[in-house]
Amino acid sequence: MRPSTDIDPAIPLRARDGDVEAFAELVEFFHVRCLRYARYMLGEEEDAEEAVQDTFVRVYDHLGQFRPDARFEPWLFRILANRCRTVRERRRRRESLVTTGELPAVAAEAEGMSQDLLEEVEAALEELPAEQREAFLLRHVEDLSYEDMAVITGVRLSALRMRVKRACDTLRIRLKEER
Amino acid sequence: MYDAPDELIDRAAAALRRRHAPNPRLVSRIVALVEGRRRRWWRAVTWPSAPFSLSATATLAAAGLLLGFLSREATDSTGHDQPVAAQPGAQAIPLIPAARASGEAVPVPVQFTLRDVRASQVSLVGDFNGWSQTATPLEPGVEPGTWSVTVPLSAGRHVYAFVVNGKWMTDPRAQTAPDLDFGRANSVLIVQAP
Repeated sequence: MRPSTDIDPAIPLRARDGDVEAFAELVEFFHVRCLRYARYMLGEEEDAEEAVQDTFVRVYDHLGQFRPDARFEPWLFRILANRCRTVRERRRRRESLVTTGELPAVAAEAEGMSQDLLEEVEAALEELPAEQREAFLLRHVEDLSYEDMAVITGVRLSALRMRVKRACDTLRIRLKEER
Repeated sequence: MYDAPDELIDRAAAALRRRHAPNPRLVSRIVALVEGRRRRWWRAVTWPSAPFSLSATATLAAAGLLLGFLSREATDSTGHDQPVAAQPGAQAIPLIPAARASGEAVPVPVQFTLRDVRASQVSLVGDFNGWSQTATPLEPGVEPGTWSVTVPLSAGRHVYAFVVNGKWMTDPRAQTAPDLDFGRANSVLIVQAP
């Protein structure tokens, strides 16, 4: 089992009570994952940063609604997923999932995957329908449970499982074709 | 059966996971933004210097103070249409300050009332008090089961809810606006400047 990716539950509560340093800890802890998710959903760094910034500002403004018995991670990703949908809808005329700016490529080599193959993965990901890409990213890249994914997306578990399966089937075929 | 181990998928996901690096510039920008905003605890809202007159309420309300639930977003998509009589009642009563400084935006005192004989503790949460469950408690009225509080609200759209015995509930007499981000509906109130 992969280690938990959630944060100490006391930190969101401190942020809720007005502790800006605690809020900064939240941003520091989650922003890479948020950026990654937003980038793969939106395709461009600028859009991703906009979505992530909007997400955290919205989180800050509504921390009072965060229940002490709730987990922060799915709450955050629910807001982020909605922000991404908003940005994507606004800019849907953009068709290509072209990443801009400098991307750290070291990880691909560390995983034993060539840069070419990584680009193929990203190209295949881009071609997935948005709801399948969302489900695949949440499940396989962000390591979230289906229960958390249901909270984030508002979609039923069975439908989410089917989306992930279809995404994996498509990716598998595409990646094998490229080999 | 859906998430059976698959080396190719696992390697692809792992590579995607490591594709991004920390972005200190973005972190700084976000933190600076929220430090500039602070939480909206009664932000930009101050009471008028003179006490407002309860007796003036009806006259001034008839003269044009509008307190309504008119937002385009204020549609209960959940289809809740339960009879009000079966639920605690809630009512926002517009009051207006008797004096105001000329040229300044003057907050409008708004009274929130709730009728719920089961309630032992009631508070008001909303975008105007940072959604704090402790900032705005309702006081019990003379009549059993009645609760009320008056708060100064700036003109504009406000979103709020009651917390009754620790549980959030919308105002059964107000329009509700579903909030996709936070997973529950809230009540909507629009206050027009007097």
